[in-house]
Amino acid sequence: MTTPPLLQTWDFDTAEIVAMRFGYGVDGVRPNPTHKDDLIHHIKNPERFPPSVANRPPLAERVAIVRGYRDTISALRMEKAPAKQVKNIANTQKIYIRNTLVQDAHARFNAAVESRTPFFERLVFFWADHFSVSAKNNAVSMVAFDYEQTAIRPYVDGYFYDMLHAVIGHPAMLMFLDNHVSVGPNSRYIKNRKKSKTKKHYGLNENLGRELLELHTLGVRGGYTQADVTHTGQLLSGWSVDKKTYTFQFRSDFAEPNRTVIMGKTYGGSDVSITHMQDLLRDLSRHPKTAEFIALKLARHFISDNPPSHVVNHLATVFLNTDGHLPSVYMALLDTPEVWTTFGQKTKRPFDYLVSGIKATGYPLQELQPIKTKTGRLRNNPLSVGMLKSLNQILYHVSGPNGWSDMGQDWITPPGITYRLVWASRLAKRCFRKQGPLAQDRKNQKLYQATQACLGATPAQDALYLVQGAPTRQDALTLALSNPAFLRR
Amino acid sequence: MVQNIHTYCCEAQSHRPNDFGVSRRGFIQGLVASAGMGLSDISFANVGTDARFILIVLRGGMDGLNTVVPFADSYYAKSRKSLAYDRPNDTDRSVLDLDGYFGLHPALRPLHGLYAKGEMAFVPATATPYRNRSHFDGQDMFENGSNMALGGPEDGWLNRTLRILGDGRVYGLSMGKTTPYVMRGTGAFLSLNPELDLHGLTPDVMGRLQRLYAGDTHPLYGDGDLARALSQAMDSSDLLHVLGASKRRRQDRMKQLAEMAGKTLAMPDGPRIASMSIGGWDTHADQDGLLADNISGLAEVIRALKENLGKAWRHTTVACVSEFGRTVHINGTDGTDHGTAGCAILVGGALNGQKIYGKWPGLHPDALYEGRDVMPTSDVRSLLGEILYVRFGISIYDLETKIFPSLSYMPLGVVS
Repeated sequence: MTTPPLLQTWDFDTAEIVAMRFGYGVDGVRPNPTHKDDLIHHIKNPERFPPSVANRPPLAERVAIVRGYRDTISALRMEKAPAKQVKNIANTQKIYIRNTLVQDAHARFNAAVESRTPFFERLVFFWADHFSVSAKNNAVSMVAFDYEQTAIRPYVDGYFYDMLHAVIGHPAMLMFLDNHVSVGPNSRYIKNRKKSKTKKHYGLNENLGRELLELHTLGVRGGYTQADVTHTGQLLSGWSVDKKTYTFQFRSDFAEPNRTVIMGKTYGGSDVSITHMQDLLRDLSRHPKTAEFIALKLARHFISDNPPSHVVNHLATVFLNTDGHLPSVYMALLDTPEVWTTFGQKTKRPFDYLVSGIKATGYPLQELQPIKTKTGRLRNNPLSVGMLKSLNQILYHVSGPNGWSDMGQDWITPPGITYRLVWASRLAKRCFRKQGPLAQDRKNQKLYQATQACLGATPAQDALYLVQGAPTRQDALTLALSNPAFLRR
Repeated sequence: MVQNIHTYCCEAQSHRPNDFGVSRRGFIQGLVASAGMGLSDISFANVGTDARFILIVLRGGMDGLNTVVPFADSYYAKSRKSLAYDRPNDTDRSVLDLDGYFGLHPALRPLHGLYAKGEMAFVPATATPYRNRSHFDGQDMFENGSNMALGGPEDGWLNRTLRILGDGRVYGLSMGKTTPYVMRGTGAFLSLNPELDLHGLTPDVMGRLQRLYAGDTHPLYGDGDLARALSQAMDSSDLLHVLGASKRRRQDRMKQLAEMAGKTLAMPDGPRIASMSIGGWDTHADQDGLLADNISGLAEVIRALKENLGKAWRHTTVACVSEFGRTVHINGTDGTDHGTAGCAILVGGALNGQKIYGKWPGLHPDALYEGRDVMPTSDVRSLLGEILYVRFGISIYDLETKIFPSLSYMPLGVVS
């Protein structure tokens, strides 16, 4: 018996596209954006800090707590307290830092679910991903959350230069790429080191210099040379961190005092100061290759894995003409016909997928908190941050400084699909449990709403038939959540 | 809402052809049958080769110098100081002799006998074309098989190998929760890990999903990627149940993966090429204990592979490769930093073992790469290419242009 092929119809109306492509999906509980004007409003009047992230403790408070632990350890050591006691406090400090990061990750996830301006929220994630930082050790863990709060969120609706400047000067970026201990070859530090007996061997570290050109601004085909990378590294020396407060500190003794040429222009000098690097950042922000690169990334994020070059060129032109005014670029994007006619050509990355599933089912945020264990350590919630780990999009732990891939092929793998299906089934089960959001649903109203949030108001008939024909309501919801239509945006 | 959709359900669970030209159910039944588990007597055509290849990626930069120790090199002990191992004799820091010049880290004792049997060999000064020292770029370049990290091929060389071997059979097996870059691509492979288990979803739901995904083939919308991934996911999950894998303690996980890999590759008509990743080799501080633990773990994995491959062991070649080696001198924290050339470890029944391959450049200060690392004297891709050429019949042309772009093939004679 031959089976008729399922119809592939991306028959979503504009309101649905607005929510699904530009936001985090149709929400079963909260109000949804339905029109392009709503998206414009998200940028003009953003909810800059959704409650989940607004309620997190600020950096200064965390630093004070960690300093408290450190002082206790020092005091104990002075008193020659037993090693076991010192180790205990050290362990408690470690657990504090790790638990705090776990809570930060859950807050970040929940913010995407609850945000009243999801277009802005999606762009926050985009830029934090573009300027990727990974909590590779305790020090970076301390400042990873503050990074998004103070170097990304305030600038998403401003000028590119301002965000770039905030990012490069943030302790998270400086410590992630080890720039805080990078010293110029002719710096005062190197000159004095010959006299000192210190074992520390700081030298020039090019990492941030390279990533600044390759990943943050010009892009890998940006026309810079290895010499440009080295010189950028030299110009960046001195951009360091005050380890007592975890804030930016310019170390003039680390800074390279010689003039240097980058991309054909001269920077730096014996009058070491932050202004030299700021000059480079400004020039990079205005460079046509930067405009092209940012335009490509935005087009790739919102249109398709290989976006049409005329759209990329147009966005790049707007970027250049407005001196990097990001809202103008976002508006230009919203004004292209392509971004409205290519719905479904992007694959939802794990974060997108999970957040949209939570929203579609109206699953409550109180149930998406970290899990307490007997040892005092917090565990990731298996329905949100925990599943992100299995799906290989671990918050605060990108595998490389170039962030997560924005290409569908990297996420639609056999394990990737397996975990999504397992998750859909798990979420559906919990929705129908006693206290679950779909528990008291005699007339299947909530199930119908959730299905519609996943499949749209006018889904392909075959698809709807398969979903509605499932033997149990739980299976129907699992199928709605696993539907190809819901895996794409 | 709940309708009688009996006929629809039956269609959904039909033995629909998948990418492999045989029904999905049939494929797993076939594997099981030929493994003598007696669930069906469907017979399958020969796969065409008995050769098996397992790539174990050691992530983090394994310290080759303290694993396969050139104890007779006059600069070894001077460079490694407190971390150096002793010449073969009976101290507990003694290496196990291999050829009078090189010796094995004591934690490899369980495998030492393989060397004398000709089932183990080493290439101590080999590297990819990568010459910087970043894990991300180093691993990317190794896994994409080219001489570029960023900007290199989007798929992995092992997947390209699967596509060339092609002919509709599933050749690949990816062990672990996530698909490593080296296995990524459109070539077919199964993914095995106790968590990759779809049996919590009912057969009815799975059938409906198959129908939903089968209709999702438009070239603009993923081009059938969901359907392919689902098919492989279901095959993998079924295989997991055939193997009867249960969740084990964290410490035993690698060993369990090795057991499953061995059993699967032992099947007469099953996958032939497997990948596994073992992390934790980035020993910047207090290296001694860490390295010993890692090496013990690796020895256990290799032993589990051998035991479970059974008769297929004599057709098997295992290559353990890391993205780079480590510095010759130790650092200020009793460890070593990222280096360049490292040591590749080869094990298997299909090996010209009992030999140390490649030119050893020595550890004299003038012989070091950039004054700090072991100088690479061979391209590790040549070694891996040799295994593919000799054991799987892949042409040198394909090796140099498709699987390892930019490679100049130079065989060492490790397999025949």
